[in-house]
Amino acid sequence: MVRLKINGIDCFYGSIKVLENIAFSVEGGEIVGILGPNGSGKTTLLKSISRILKPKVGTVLLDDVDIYVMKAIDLAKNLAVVPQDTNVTFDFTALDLVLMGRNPYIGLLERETEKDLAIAKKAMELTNIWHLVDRKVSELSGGERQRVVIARALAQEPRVLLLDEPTSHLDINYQIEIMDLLKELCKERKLIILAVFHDFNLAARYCDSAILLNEGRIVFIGPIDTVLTDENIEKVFHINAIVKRHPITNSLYVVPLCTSELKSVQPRALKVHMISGGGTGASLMRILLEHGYKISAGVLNVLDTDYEVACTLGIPVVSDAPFSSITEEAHKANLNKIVNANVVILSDAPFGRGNLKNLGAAMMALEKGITTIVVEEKPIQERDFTGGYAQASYMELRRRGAIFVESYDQILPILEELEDKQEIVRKV
Amino acid sequence: MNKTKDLIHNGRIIQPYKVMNMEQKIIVIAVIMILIAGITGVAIWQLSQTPEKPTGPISVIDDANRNVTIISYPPERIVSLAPSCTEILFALGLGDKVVGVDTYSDYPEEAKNIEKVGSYAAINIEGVLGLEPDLVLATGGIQLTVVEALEEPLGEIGGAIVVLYPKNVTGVFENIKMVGKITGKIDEANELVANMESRIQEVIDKTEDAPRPRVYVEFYFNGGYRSYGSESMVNEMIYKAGGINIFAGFAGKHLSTSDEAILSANPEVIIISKGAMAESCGLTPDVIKSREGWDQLSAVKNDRIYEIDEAILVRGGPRIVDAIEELAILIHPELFS
Amino acid sequence: MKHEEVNYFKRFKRWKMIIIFLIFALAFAISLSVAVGQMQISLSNTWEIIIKNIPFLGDFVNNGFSKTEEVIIMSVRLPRAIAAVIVGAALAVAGVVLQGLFRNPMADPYLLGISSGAALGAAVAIGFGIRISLAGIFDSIQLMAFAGALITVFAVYNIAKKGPKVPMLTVLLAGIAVTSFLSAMISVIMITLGESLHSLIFWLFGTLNGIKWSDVMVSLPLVMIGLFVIMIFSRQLNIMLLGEDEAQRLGVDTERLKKIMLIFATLITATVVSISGIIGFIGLVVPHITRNLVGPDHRILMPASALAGAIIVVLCDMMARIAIQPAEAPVGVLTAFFGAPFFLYLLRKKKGMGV
Repeated sequence: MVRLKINGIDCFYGSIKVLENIAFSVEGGEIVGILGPNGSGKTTLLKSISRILKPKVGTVLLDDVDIYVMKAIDLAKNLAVVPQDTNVTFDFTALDLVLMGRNPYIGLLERETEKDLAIAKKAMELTNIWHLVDRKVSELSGGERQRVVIARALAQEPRVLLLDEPTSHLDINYQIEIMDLLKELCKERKLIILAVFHDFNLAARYCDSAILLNEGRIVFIGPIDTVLTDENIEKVFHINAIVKRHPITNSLYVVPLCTSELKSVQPRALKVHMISGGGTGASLMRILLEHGYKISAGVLNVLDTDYEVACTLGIPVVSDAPFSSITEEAHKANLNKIVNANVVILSDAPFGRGNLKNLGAAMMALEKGITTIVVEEKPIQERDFTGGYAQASYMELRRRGAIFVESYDQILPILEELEDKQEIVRKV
Repeated sequence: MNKTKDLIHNGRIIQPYKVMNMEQKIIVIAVIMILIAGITGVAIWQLSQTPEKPTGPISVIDDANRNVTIISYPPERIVSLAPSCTEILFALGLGDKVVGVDTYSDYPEEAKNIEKVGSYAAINIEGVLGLEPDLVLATGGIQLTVVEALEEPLGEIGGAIVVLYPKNVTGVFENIKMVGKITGKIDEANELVANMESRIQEVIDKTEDAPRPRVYVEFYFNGGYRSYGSESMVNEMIYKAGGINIFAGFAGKHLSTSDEAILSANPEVIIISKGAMAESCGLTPDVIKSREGWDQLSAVKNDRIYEIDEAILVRGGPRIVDAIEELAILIHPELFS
Repeated sequence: MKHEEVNYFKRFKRWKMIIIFLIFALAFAISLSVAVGQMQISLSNTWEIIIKNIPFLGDFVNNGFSKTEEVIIMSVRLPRAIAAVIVGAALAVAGVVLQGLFRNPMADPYLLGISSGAALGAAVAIGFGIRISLAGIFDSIQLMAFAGALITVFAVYNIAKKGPKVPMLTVLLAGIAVTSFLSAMISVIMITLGESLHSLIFWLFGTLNGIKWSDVMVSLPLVMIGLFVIMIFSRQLNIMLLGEDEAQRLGVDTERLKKIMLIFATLITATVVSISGIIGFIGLVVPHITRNLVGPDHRILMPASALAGAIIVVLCDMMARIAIQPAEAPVGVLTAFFGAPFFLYLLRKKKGMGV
């Protein structure tokens, strides 16, 4: 099985150190992602492994042979590189270009044989570009050109494949197709695939393990789910993101949050509790969060969109199982949350027998003297599936002093007013 | 040794660059020096070769140090590749035997009607061979490449090529005599030379005792002013005509000079050598008078700016005598009335 | 699916046909050039003369021609035609090499300072009236021009070298800088030249006037060796077009390739410049014309360019001899005069330089 070992290398551009003490080992059958912000040295690492930039310290060993001692041609039979883009200024056809991948196997005075053609053809069929065989590369689209370059790399029959953002120019369908192909080839032929990714989700989906670089050093290395974590992403990329496992594909995916607004906002004193459902509270949750308010939410059932948003945003939520009424437990927990809040907002969710208790919670809030805002963008009549009970509750809420607003925009000014008043009377 | 120390850094092994070490550098320098020495040596050896004495019926050593045998003697068909050669041929009465001349051969009149074969280094070799000459006269310097190209093929059809490249007045006399020898016009040649010598001597006698005015001859300007140096025949001719070239101390044939040099030399006589080059830049006495600061020159103040036909001045042929006589009249008008 | 496979290998046959066609065209051009000139020599005489001078065959021909005619054909026109072939082939291939190495369609063989180095050598030889000859074969202008060219390129190469690597961009810039410097020096010499200025200018424009068999004998092996070595690396030059990094990754020893290509391209260019002066346009344009017609694969581009360049120079030299009889036009003027419009025509027709 092929083995690539990087032994503590340092790489320099002139006198500037770009990589420091990079060390890791990969074996055939693995797809390893190389991740990191711009300037962290990802491309430099690929260059040092492909014999373009010799490390001043340390060695790169392929099957225990120093690649800088090998002849270029021997390395080319084992290692192929797919660069970010290729510029061809002369009129070669796609087939010509793919056949160049066979160079390591063709002697100086020899020419291409039928075997070379067959291998090139196979590579082009795998990457779905055989129909472009006679087309000039300069006339192809970016995506087609990229697939030509990938086919050329495959034609080298390598045991190690290095890719620098292999799918950046491709349409989504080709992205998946190519990555699936690479994954299949990797497993089948026990290749080592080292790929630089900017797209986390792609890396998350296809890589077995990953190397996270920052400022020329390895920050983290290991299986993909240990590398792609909220903390690592925060530490290296300085953004807030959530890493979750996708319910359908079971692969990780990364959801970045808008960091700039969150960070620059002063946290406010007011605590808000949202009673919502059916997706009606989602945007408001986000807006309030961006304005610095602390939020809690409930009761939401776990299949509700608002629940998912709340989880994503990190908002404490009282949740309950779907397809059943709100349990007494959940209701009590909800009330607890309400008691600790300064304001309660009731969005214009649809009400049915299942979530009636939420209306009751709103009434409780008013009884306790907590400011309650009721949003009625869509009139209650259209949302009442309780046979009139909800409408009645709304009238009661009005009577007890809830603030009714007709659109969500009106909420923020009200909150600000409240905040000013609260400056004098603080509630812990 | 330093090498080991550099190989280990922070406990990890470094790969050093491969640079030429001292030995290799020395070898390269040595090889280059040997090559230079070799080439110089060969060059010196070549230059030091003295030609053997002429052999055979009629042979001459020409001005390019070539030992030439005149295969067809006397030559009936002659081609001239330079105006000076043409004039010598006609002066010796060989005009009717001349079948080809260069484009600049315009004297005497009959020469203008003879078939042209190019000029300078752009001689049409095929054209020359096509005329099936027994003798070709060429000049030296740049025309030598043509001479080399013509030698062999000309020899195959029974012709010979002789180079006339006089360095001084005596050289012109020798050229005339040599042409006489190879064309069977020895008497005519001797007579012509004697005539020329006596006319020149007459001029020398007349002007010898008079003070020598400073003379400046210009043939072209383009930024700098072009004049003649000590190795040019013009220099000698000025002296023989009773003047002194202001650039007599400048080694070289031609030179390019400036206002400062002229003004500090303060020539008493300025002569324009009127030829194709002077015409191309519009060089006339008026132009000279109008030059900034030149009104201070003795020559300009005394209105002693003249023109002379360049052809008689620079062609190393029989008319240099005319040139010397004319120069004398211009330089010493008081002696020739 | 067999169709595409057969298609691909057909190209090798196609290439052979192109080469054979070009060889015939060249033979025709040479015959034309040899048969035409200031002196009217009949076609039959021309053929007889040539055949007579081929060993063994010579005896089968009767002598219907004059000695003069024979001398003109054999000692003037034939060596000139063959020299034209050598010059055209060398310049065209050198142009292909430099365009490939620099990946720049504007590159020509004189980029590295060869032309100004040779010109300086010639200017010094002409200007200072240096007369040395080596073994009675070379003359000083040739030697100095050759030496000037080689020394210049050597200097440019070493200026640009960084450790074991030679970055092509630096070579290009160094070449341009050195060329400017040498041109200035040549101008200085030109100012001091008097009548010989005319001759230097003529030489600078390029001319095959005065070519002797000895010139051919010396330049032929040098150029043939150079062409041979260069063409061996044709396929690798294809790959160099992708860029040095990518070529290296595909197993090409780029430093060795650059060195060999530069050395031999310089050698063949310096050789022909020393016998013919600076003939422009061929090295720049012939590669494009050929690339337009046969494609970018150097395995056909090199030999086709060599033959095309040869044909063009042979024909231009022929015209140089007869265009303004009895004077000679400098061949370099003619190559530009006829080459430029033809090239422009190709550009319009094909909408691009194959770039």
